[in-house]
Amino acid sequence: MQVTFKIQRYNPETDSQPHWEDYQLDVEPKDRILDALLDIKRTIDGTLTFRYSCAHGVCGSDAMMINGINRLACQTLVQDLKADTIKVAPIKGMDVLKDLVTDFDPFFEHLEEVKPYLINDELPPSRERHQSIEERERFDDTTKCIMCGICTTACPSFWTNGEYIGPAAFVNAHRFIFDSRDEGAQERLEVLNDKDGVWRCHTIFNCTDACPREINVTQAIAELKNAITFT
Amino acid sequence: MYKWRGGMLSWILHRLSGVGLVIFIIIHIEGMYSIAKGPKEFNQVIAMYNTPLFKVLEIFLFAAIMFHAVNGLRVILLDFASGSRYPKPLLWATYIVTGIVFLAGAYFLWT
Repeated sequence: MQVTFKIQRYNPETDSQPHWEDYQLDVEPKDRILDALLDIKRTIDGTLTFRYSCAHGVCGSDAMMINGINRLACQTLVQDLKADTIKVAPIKGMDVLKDLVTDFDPFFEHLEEVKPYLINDELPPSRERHQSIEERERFDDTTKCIMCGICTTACPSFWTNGEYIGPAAFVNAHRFIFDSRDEGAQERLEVLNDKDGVWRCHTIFNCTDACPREINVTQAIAELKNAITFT
Repeated sequence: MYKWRGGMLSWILHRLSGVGLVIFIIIHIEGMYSIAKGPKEFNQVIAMYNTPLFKVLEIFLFAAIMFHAVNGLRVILLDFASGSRYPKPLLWATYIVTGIVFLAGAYFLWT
């Protein structure tokens, strides 16, 4: 089938503003958007720039806005979009470095703020730290995060305020705060209770709708709000 | 442009109705102030309130209050009562409850 790809292009060395370019491509319905982008790069325009690594929905490198919704290019099939024009743009709210490549540095700085690692000063027992099935279940949903940035860059609160810590960092905070082996909940909750913390979440659900790992991000944030309010 | 979904629409409507209610309060306080000035001013303000324009505005006001109130309850449920596990039913419930109460109230306001 013939599909028109409208791709947002930006070269910082020659362009002052991003612009749209059209590419006609013959694709199979079961082709992924990533396949199509690679095809464009190989056969039409070698300067088209985008990130990808594993190409199987695990590394989270190829997050982009495809037909108005944040998705992973490697997980989105042409047939899923039910359109003969496919618009591909960089994810919103981050600086665009080139074409579909955005600057993730502030994103990872926000992630670091919530200390996404085990905090426990006690020496581990001679073998592993024990955890019951129920205790592990408590934070199971948020262990699935691949830090692709789709949730944070789908959030209107983040678009208007880059200082907002953002859903991805909240998900990773949740993963450790509710881990029975961790003892850093209080210091993380203090960060989350900041003016740029969880209270800027207005339960819009763009993050939950877009998450390629189907994490209920809004529910995780609600649990953090509860933890701040009632502990 | 990011595609609009249900949650985003209700967030924008919540903000718009909130701003609308603040504007209403200013008009309302001004009205109360004018009424207290004397019988002449009292009659003037009441006559203005009875014009068709104000009737229509009153119905808009009622819509804004109902949506803001019901959606506010939805947000509380989302944040503090595990409502985020059921976003779609809650969203539909918000629109349906708002719609029913609004239609019933608007009928009485108009007649």
